[in-house]
Amino acid sequence: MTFTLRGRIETRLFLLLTVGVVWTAIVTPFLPSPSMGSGGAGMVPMQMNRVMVSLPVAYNALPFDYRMTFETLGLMAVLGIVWELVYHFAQQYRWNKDWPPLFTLVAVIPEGIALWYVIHLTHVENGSWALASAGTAMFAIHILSTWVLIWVAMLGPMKVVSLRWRFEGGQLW
Amino acid sequence: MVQSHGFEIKDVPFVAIGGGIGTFAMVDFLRVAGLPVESMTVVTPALRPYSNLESQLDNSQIPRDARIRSGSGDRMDSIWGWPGYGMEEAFRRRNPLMLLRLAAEPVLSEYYTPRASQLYDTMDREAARISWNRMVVAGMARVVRKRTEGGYFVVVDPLSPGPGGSVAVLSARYVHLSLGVAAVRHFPGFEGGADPEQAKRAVNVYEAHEHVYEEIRRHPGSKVLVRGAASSSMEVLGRLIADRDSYGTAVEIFHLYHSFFDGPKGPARFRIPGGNGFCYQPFTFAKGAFGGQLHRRYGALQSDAERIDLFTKLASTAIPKRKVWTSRIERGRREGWYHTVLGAAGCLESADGGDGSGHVRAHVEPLAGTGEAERVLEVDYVIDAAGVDIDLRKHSLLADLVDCGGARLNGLGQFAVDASFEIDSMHSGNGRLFASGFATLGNPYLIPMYSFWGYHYVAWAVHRKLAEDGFVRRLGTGRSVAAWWRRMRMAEP
Ligand SMILES: Cc1cc2nc3c(=O)[nH]c(=O)nc-3n(C[C@H](O)[C@H](O)[C@H](O)COP(=O)(O)OP(=O)(O)OC[C@H]3O[C@@H](n4cnc5c(N)ncnc54)[C@H](O)[C@@H]3O)c2cc1C
Repeated sequence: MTFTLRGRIETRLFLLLTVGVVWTAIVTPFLPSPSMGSGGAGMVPMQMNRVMVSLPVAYNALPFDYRMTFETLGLMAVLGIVWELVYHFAQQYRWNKDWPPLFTLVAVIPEGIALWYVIHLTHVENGSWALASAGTAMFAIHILSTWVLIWVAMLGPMKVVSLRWRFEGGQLW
Repeated sequence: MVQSHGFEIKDVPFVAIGGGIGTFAMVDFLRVAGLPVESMTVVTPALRPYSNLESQLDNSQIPRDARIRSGSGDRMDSIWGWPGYGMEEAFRRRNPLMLLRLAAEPVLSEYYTPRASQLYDTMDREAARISWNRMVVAGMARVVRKRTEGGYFVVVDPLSPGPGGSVAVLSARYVHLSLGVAAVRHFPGFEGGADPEQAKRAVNVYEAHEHVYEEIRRHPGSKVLVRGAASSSMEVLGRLIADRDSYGTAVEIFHLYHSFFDGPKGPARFRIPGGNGFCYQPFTFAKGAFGGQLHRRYGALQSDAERIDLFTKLASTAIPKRKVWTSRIERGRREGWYHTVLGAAGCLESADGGDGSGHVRAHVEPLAGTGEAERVLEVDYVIDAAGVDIDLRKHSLLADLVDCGGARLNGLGQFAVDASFEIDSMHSGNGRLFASGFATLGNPYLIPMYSFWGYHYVAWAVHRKLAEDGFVRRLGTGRSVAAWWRRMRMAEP
């Protein structure tokens, strides 16, 4: 099977909504949250009078973490539509008009980096913008693991879930 | 059973004629979707569903342990194609590196393709699972005729006549045809049976021609003309060159085909890769034709002329880029025993072969616009690997459908079908006549008609139509997953 543009977008949205959501729900509590784990005492970044400060408080970080991972996932879906347009354009320069799975796998690098800036821009994440900062590990593990799972689903299991997907260029509807 | 005009007539809802790859895809799909054995009959002279393909592969120098052309996911024994052949082989050989290779194809490695033996063995397993043999009536279908009350009669010549006499008649609501190719291609002017000596020297790659390689071994320095630049010609060249190296046959090879690719050709967004004289494409059809954007583009075309144009480009005469192939040919060019001849096959004449001249004279017409003169090549053997003859009139059952049944043809001279691959001009009451494979080429929906994936596509489309008719249940997500799990456990569908 090979993708059509519509198939690419539908597949991405479908997999983020299913595999992505379930995985995020499972993995978030185990991610290395910059606010030091899922509860107890720690430093919480907060905005006070338009200034970011870190305050030591006792709190439960899990709701914060969930909000962040799910909002990141949502942004990944929205941005993904733009990315798929870019890939589809690039695909026009390939005779076979196909998109090897390896390309999809490594796309997580540019997509992840762009997403990192976008989640800062949109204040989903309020830590440092630097690529290596306190929040990076949590973000990277979440995105990478989700990405790999989605990629594996695209390599085959999707064909079982939907025969249409196999025959009509990755389209589900 | 009813008795009528002295023939036994057997009622069966779905009759599949052919019993080859296309039939197997269809029947397997419907069994998986829940049709019982009793609802289907397969009419075929073949012992196994891959018998015909196996002999074509054998003849074209792809024995059991060699690799076929299509990829890992195009599995004949699974309507889902997953897990693919590659994954299965990796597990069998306990080789996780193979999985990495599969994930990285075709960027870091050539495409994985399964061995012919894996295709056959897994089809045997699936055939046993769906009780294929219980559905088979061994014989040749002679005619398919509409029944006045809807549906069709299928007249069968059984291989071993039963108590009902030498003819059996099946009465079916649905009929599916997948009869393979009508005939193989030869040089124009090929005399065939009329000139047995010539028939021995000018052969088609899909027919048995082992004697040619034996003769070449016996007569060192023979000249051979190989026609066509698709992958079967590469397998023939491979054999000729391997024999040259192992037995010192000193064979001289003339390779006749249409266009020489010294590099990629075409505008940036439609540039076909090429080099070394050949055009490169990993599969018989450009990959995007397998459901992707080329499939969409094709489906949006309005006229037969546009469709034929795009079809010929995407199913162009190309070979997968394999290092072993190109390096062999480069060596032949360097050492002077491999010659490229550009042109079109003219006609063939027998010659006496005296004074070191060849036994066959092959006329080669120059390509349009080159202004060159016709060439005559004197060679000892001609191996035709220029494809197949898709003239469906060469198949008596299909010709009868056109002449007596009133089946309509498309611009390519094949059956005009609708989106469910029904020959709609043959519609009969509540019955339908479906077709897959070569006899439906040029239809406005699908390009890779003669590919494993294409046969499954047709089966999927037919199953949806049958579901609309209420004849079978649709394989939606839930039923698909459940059916897949049954297959993973090799449980009966
Ligand atoms: C050498 C070769 C290699 C190929 N490799 C690949 C590959 O790697 N991947 C891929 O996807 N495709 C491949 N193909 C293309 C295609 O998948 C095969 O040609 C496939 O076998 C075609 O299936 P079919 O059902 O049309 O015909 P077949 O498999 O040839 O079956 C047709 C059957 O119909 C029977 N028949 C004919 N007339 C009648 C009648 N009147 N009544 C009853 N039965 C009848 C014949 O005996 C035969 O058994 C290859 C083709 C060739 C020739």
